Amino acid sequence: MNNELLQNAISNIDCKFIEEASEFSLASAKDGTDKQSKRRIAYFGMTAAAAAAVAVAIIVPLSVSGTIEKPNDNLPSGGMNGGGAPGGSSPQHIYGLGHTQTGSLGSVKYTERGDYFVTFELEITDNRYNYDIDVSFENNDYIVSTDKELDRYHTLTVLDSSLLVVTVDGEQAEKIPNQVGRYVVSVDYSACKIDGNQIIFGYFSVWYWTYYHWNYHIYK
Amino acid sequence: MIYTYDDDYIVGLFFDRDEKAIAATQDKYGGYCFKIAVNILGDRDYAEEAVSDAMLSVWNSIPPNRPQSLCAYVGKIVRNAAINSYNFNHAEKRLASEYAVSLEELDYCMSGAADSCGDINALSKCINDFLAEQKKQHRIMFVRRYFFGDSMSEIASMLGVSEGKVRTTLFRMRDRLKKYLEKHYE
Repeated sequence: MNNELLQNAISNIDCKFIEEASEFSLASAKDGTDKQSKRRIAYFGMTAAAAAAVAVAIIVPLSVSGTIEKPNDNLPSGGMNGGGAPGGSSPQHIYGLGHTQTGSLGSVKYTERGDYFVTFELEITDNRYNYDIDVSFENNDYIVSTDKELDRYHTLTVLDSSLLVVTVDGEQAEKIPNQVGRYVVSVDYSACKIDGNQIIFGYFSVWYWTYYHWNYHIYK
Repeated sequence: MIYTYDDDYIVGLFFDRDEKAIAATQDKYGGYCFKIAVNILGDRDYAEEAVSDAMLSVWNSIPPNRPQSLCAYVGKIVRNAAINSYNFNHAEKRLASEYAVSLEELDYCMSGAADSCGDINALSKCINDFLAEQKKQHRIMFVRRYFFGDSMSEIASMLGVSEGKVRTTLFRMRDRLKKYLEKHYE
């Protein structure tokens, strides 16, 4: 069979049938989550900063101190549920210790923060998709993430991701789990040093994304 | 809260040559487009490039086009962009994507009488006429599999049926389509 002919014939399926079938891929994204890959490619005609600012985040008080912290201006703008109007003018959600953030894919409960590590309980409840779960740390100058292909448009200095040590349920792991289940995840960044000086990160964020949508949450 | 723009509004932005049109399209259909592309290409980076190329094509084609269904329009463009990338990058080897597997399934069903047909319009009309006669659920399975490149398990999950039912339904549909095409081209 002529493959090109076949491909073209399928491409010419009537729009009404495509729309009928596409309700299912759109329905999975109608719970308020953004549908874009976190590895956003800069659009033609837009600067990278403008493209990164398309997703918007929102500020809430820290659950521990009860005070509202001014966001770090160097934090990437990214929504709790991603997306939003271009411009990125809204403030950011930054959650404190003990906070549980629940989304359509599962939940993250931030349970512990010690010297150069954070621990959270991760629950993944949706088994329909393949997930990537990543944790990123950053301050005004540096960023490091369990994602080896860090956001290429980030303006901070990107550290080697191998500096992060991931422990899942007490055992060292190559990556954060992405299957349905409950996990206690700890990420140690004590190896993140510059000229022998320990880097201290103000924020960490948990990213989880699928082909359909991505979420990330920022914690302090 | 995410604000999802109405399709007519987004198309209006394109006609006004307002770059917010791209962001709005990405916001509403970005994941949908990415899914189509990654199903075909089996590779996220290639898929992102295909979606990016598709957005440029959408920008360059609206206007003068004013699609009735922006969803289907964007879906077709990204599908074509992904197929072009697939053909260009993987001419020498088979790509382990659902799309490649689905092509083999359809190729089998379409070999024979339809093979002698070199007229894309006639073949497309045949397929669309065939689909119009199918039950909605079966038609959705077919389009999800062969246009969107979804896996059997994904389709089963979307429709709330067993994977076995999807496989059987598609198998029977391909057989019916084969007979339909043979009858049309005999």
